[in-house]
Amino acid sequence: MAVAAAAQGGHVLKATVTAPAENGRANEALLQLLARAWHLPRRDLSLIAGSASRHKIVRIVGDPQRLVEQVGPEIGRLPGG
Amino acid sequence: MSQGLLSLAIAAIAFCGSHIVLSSTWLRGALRDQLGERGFLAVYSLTALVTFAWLLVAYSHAPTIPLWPQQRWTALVPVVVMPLATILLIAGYTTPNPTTVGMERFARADDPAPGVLRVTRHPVMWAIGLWGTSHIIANGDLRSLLFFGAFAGLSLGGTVLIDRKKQLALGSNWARLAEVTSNVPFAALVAGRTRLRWRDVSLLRVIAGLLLYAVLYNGHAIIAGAPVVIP
Repeated sequence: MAVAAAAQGGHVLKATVTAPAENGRANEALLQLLARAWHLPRRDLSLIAGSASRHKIVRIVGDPQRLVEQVGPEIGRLPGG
Repeated sequence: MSQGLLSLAIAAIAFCGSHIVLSSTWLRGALRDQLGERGFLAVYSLTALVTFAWLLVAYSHAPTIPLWPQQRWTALVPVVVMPLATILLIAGYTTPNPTTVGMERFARADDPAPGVLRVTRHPVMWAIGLWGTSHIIANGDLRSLLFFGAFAGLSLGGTVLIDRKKQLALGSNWARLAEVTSNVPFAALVAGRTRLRWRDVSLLRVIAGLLLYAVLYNGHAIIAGAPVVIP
């Protein structure tokens, strides 16, 4: 995983999975990757856009304050973060 | 440890603990004296159901702490192991088993160990044990270790507890059963103590087991909440 500049401005998180993009397997692999990286319950993560696209928007359910404290530093540690 | 993991650990202890306390301690006899065999089994089943539901909910809310990386080979372990588990499950549930509660009379049958019982005398327990351990390996995180470990530990540990109880309850019929069976799958067959009669196992049970495997594999997203992911 890495942080990169997005074409339309702002930043995106780049992640790569090897699971094939069929029947939601790659999306599931991505959400599992994020859950493991950020120590979150898998059920708190869901795709709200881009399930068939390379650009995806992931929704994380939880206490915003705690999520910022928990996930923020993890993203900061990534290359480009 | 986070709150989510702590409540999962407590649920796992409650699930295993209630099973063991109700089945293998003095409480079983005391409750059976009070409620009768049927009343006792009702209490036992209800307790199992409630703690099972509790464990499921706690698992889904627990955070994912990786213990080892998810790799292609770890993901393939259940793919390879589960066909055996589903065959054991189907064959186990459809074969009269003297080690199952309420079925002790079958220990007096001409053949106390028909069909799949010659592979293992605890086919259903091993099915659950294989399901649990293979899914611990594939998931590789702490919450899965607690959740699947509870099932695997209880079922495989349970085989030893059941054997100990049945040895006392069945007496000489136990010796007859133990002679031609093993707890560990295929051990008695490998040792040459017993022979598998395919007609008793029946092709139908094997096909039904493989069919169940296909349903579980393809319906994993609906049944387990996530599709099978093989990196």
